[in-house]
Amino acid sequence: MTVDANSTSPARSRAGLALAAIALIVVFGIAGQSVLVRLGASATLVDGCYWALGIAIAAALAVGAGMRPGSSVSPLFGGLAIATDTVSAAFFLALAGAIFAWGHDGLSFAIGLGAGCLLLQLVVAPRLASSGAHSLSGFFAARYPGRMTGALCALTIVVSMLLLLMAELMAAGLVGARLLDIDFATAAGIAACAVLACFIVRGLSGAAWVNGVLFPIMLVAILVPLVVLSARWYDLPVPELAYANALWQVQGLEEKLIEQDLADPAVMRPMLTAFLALTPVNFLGVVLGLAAGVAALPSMLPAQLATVSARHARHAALWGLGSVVLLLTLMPAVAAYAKLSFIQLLADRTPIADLPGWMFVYGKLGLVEICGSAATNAAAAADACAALPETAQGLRLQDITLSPDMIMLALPDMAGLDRFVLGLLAAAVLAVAIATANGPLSAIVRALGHDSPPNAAGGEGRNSRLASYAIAALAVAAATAGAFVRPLSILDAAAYAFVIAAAGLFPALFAALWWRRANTYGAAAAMFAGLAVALVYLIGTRYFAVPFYEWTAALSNAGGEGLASFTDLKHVWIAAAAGADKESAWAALQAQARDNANWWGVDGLAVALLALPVGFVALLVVSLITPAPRPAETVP
Amino acid sequence: MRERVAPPFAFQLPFPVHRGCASCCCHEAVAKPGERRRRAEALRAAVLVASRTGISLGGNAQASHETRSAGRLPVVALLLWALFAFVVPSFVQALNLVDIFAFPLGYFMAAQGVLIAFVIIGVSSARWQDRRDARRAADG
Repeated sequence: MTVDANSTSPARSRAGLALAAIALIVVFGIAGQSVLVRLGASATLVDGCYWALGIAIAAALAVGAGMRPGSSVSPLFGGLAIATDTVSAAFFLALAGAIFAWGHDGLSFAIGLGAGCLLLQLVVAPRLASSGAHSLSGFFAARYPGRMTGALCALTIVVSMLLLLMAELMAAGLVGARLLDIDFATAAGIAACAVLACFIVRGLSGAAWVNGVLFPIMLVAILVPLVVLSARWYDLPVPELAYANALWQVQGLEEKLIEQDLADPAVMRPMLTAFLALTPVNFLGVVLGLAAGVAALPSMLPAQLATVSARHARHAALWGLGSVVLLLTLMPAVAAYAKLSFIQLLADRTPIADLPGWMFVYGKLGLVEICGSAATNAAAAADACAALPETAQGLRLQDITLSPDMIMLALPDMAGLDRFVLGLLAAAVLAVAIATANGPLSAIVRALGHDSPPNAAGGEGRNSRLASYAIAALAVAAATAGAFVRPLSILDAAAYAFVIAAAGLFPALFAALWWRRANTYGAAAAMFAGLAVALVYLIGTRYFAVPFYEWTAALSNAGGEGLASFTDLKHVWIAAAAGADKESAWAALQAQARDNANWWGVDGLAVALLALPVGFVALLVVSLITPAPRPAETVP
Repeated sequence: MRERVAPPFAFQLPFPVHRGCASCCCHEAVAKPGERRRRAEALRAAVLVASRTGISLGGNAQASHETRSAGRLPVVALLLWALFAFVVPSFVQALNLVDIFAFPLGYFMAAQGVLIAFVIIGVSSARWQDRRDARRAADG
C-alpha cells in the first residue's frame, strides 16, 4: 500500500481517463444548455438540466472512484481532494452568507478553515502518513486498543459526521428546491437517495482523491460571477481587489440608511466594523474550533493521507492549504457584492410591490422573512408589514431577514446576472454536496465496526458489504430526517460538526502522534471529557437553558443584574396561573435564560475554548497516573 | 538499513487487529496465507519508507537521537501559526488605522492577509523539512 511503485503508471492513465470523462461531461453539459437556451426552451427545463448536470458530475465521480484508479496520485491531486473535502458544499454555500450576516466577524470561519489546513500540514499529516490506517477509528484502535476508546471514538465520529452529512443534504436540498421548483423536503430526499447510490457504487475502498476533480469546478463557478461583476462595476476583473470598492459603497449606503431612519443601528452588522456579532474571545474560539476540527476531520484525514509517504503527505496538505486559501479569499467578495445589491434596494426605498423576484423565490423556501413572516409573494409581504404596529414609509433593514444559507446561491439573481451563472454555481454546489457526503458516510460506516482494508485480495465479503450498506442507509435516513426538520442553518450544522470532532478527537489524535507516553486510559478520558463538555454545553445552552443557567449561574457572565432579572421572571412564572399566562411567562423566562446561559461569555460555536483544554488536561493527568503503554502499542 | 529497526507508524499489522467486536471483524481474523504474506510485505515497505524519511519511534540510542531531530514538532511554524490565527485578528481595530490596497489593514488581514500568511508559513516549513530530509539522506 505504501510504496506502490508498479501500479503508478496504469493508475495515472486511468486517473487521466476519469478526469477526461468528467471534463467532457462539464463541457458538453454546458454546451447543451446553451443550445437549449437558443432553441427557446422554457426556464424550468433549462434549470432542470443544470440540476441533472450536477447529479451527472457526482455520478461520474462515483463511477470513477469505484474503478479504483490508483490509491496514490501526485500531491497536487491529493491536495485538491483535501481542499474539496474540507470546504465541502456546506461551507462553500454558507461561508459567504456568514460574512454577509455577521459582517467582519463572519471572517472567523474563513480564518478557522485556513488555520486548520496549516495545522494539518504541520502537525498531523507527516505523522499520520504511512500509518496505513483506513479510517480514524482504525488508527485509534491500533494506537489505543480497548473497548472504551473504540466506543467513544465511534460516538464522536457518528455525532459529528451525522451533522456534517445533514449539512451536505441540506445544501443539496436547497439547490434542488431552487432549480426544480419543488419543496425542500422532496429535494433533500432525492439528494439523499443520490448520496446512498454513490456510496454503493464507490464502495468503502473507492479512491478518495477523485473528489479533487471538483475543486476546479467550484473555483470556476464562484469566479465567473465575481469576475463579471468586478469588471462590470469597477472595471477591474480581479475580485480580490475590486471588492474594496463595494465595501466602501456599502459603508456609505449604511450610513445613509441610519440617517434616513431606515435602519436600526442595533441590528446592523457593517462589513468593516469588528466584534459586533461575536466578542473577541468568541471570535478566537470559532477559529480554534474550526482549525482543530479540520486537523481531526474523520471524513477527510485517513482517506487522503494515510497511504502515502511523509513527504508526500506534507506536500499534499500544502497544496490543500493553497487551494483552500484561493477559495476562501473570494468569499468576502461574494458577501460584499450581495450586500451592496441588497442595501441598494433599501436605500432606493423600493416599495414592496416592486421587490425583485428572487426575494419571493427564496421566501417560498423559508429563507427570506419580510416583517416577521416568510415572504411567499408581494401581497403576503405587504399584509405582514401593514400589520406591524409602527409602519414606516418604506422597508427598513430590520424588516427583512435573509438567511445566510441563500446568499451564495442568490448572488447571480441579486446582481442581475445571466441565468447561466446561477446554473453553473448550482450544479457545482450539487455535485460537491453529493460527492463530499461520501466522506462522512464512510467515516460513520467504518466507525461502527466495519473497517475492512481496501483492495483486499479476495475483495470484501458479501455479508459485510450488505452490512455496510445497511449502516449507510440508516445514517442517511437519520441525516435526512434531520434535514427535513432543519433545526439548524447549514452553516451552524457544519460548524458544530467540526467543533464536536475537534472537542472529541483532537487531543487524543495529537497525543497519538506526538506523545509516546499517552495510553488508552488517557485517550478515553480525553475523548470523554472533551465530548461531554462540548455536548452538554451545546445542548444545555440551546435546549435546556433554564436548568443549565440555574445550575451554573456562578460561571455566567450575566452578573448580578442578569441573575436578578432571571429570578424576577422565575417568580412571575411560578405565580402565573396555568394556561396561556404560564406559557408566556415560561417563554420570557427561557429567553432570559438563553441570554444568561454561558460560562465566561463563551458562545456555543466557540465551545472548543472550553472543551480542548479540558480534553488535554484529562489526557495528561490520566495518562500519567496510569501505567505506560506497552511498547508494542506505541510502536506497532 | 540497520537491522531490527522498530517499525514506525505502520498500523497495518501482520496480524489482525481486534477491536473488541469479534462479530464485526471476524472476516479479517481468518487471513488467508497469501493475505498474510501481502501484509508482511506492506509492513516491510513501510519500514523501508520510514528508515528513509527518518521517522522512527524507539530502537537503540542512535535511533532515538535521530528521532528527536526528525520527528520534532515544527515549533517556530506553530508559533507563527498561533500569531496569525489568534493574535493578528484580535488587533483588528488598531490595524484598521492603516490602509492597504484601499482596504483597512485590519479587515484586509482578516479577509486575506492571514490566509496568505498561512500559505507562506506552510511553504517555508515544507521546504525547510524537505531540505533537512535531503541532508540526512546525503549523510547516510
